[in-house]
Amino acid sequence: MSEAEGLGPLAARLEAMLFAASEPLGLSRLALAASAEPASVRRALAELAAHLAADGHGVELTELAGGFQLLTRAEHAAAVEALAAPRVTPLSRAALEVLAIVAFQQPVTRAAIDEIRGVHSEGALGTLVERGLIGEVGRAEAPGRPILFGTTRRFLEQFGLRSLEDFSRVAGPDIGPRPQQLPHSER
Amino acid sequence: MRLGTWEGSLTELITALEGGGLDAREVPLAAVVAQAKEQAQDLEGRAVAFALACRVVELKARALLPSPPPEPEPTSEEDPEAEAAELAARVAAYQAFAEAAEVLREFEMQRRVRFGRPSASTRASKPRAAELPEASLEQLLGALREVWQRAAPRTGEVERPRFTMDQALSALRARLAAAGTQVEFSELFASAADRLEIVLTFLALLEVVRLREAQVVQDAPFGPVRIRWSGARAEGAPRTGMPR
Repeated sequence: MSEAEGLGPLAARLEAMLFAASEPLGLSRLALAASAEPASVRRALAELAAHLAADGHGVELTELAGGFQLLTRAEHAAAVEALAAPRVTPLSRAALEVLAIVAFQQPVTRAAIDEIRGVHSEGALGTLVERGLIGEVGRAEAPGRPILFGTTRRFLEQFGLRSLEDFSRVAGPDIGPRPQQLPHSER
Repeated sequence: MRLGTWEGSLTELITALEGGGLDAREVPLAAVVAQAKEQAQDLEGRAVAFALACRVVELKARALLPSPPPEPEPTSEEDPEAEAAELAARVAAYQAFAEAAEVLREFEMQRRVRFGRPSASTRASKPRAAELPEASLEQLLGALREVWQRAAPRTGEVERPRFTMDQALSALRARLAAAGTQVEFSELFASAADRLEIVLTFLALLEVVRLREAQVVQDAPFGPVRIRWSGARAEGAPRTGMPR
């Protein structure tokens, strides 16, 4: 395509792959599929991102959940939504609180979440599990072997986060222990 | 009432015990109860004496039993501070998470206005009528309804089915192959002996459509539904998974 004149062949190939993908693609996956070295893929991704930004494209390259994805720019939201893009109800305040606690304290039991919030969190937990934002990551070695919750990849994707560290950096360092690495890479 | 050196009424005894003038541990309960019983004249007096005696028993019991550990006293003085500090810590911890929740809300809002390609599972929720390009299932069922009405229900007899799914399937294939390219839907059922045969033939039709051996077409709205035969699939094609 004529717009991609300034784009190198590898960057163009990556653009095609990212265009067709419905989820963030990791660097190694991109490198494998494009038959290129990860280092050159990284350079080509930077080239693609700069190209999309400089030429005023409607999509931008976004680093998300440990991968890369082409997302439409925020300013075109209304137009994209007019095409009946799936609209998801925003999470309730309670659900967001529970999500924040799980993100920072994971793996964490429901009782521990209730303790912090001072109220029952069952409903909010249910919503978050249903939406695939958190999941069971194990069982605590405590009476009743309560479920331990942790955040999922989908959580990072849906909140535009590169990683959990990304979130803890922004959300404030005074919160408890640093988030641990995801106990499971895929949701 | 006389108890050793002490003398007075039951009420006075209780006052002395509560005030600490008399050691409750030294009070002989049997004597107290016996004397109270003696002095009470009527039922009402006995009731009062009984209540007062109970109080004496209670006071002696309290004096005899080990008193609650003395810790509560000093800690209850410290508690307000410790409790307040603990509460403050908990509130602060909660506050931090509440603020983090606000950050998440912002992230959510920013992310909600940027769209990626929807996942395949989202797209798949809209079923495509690929097998029935020109006639919908609705139209097909409508055609079946017509045929159905024509066949009178048979009552009074229960027979062993003479016609099986396999038979219906091979009969239909033979029929379609023999007819060449197209057969009208209603023709397929013209020779059907009963409703069972109609049902089996219809199921067989759905099966050949599923296997892409035939297509269902309707040239015009309300026009006749036709079956277009495209030939049996080659050997090795998936076996029919049709239940009998």
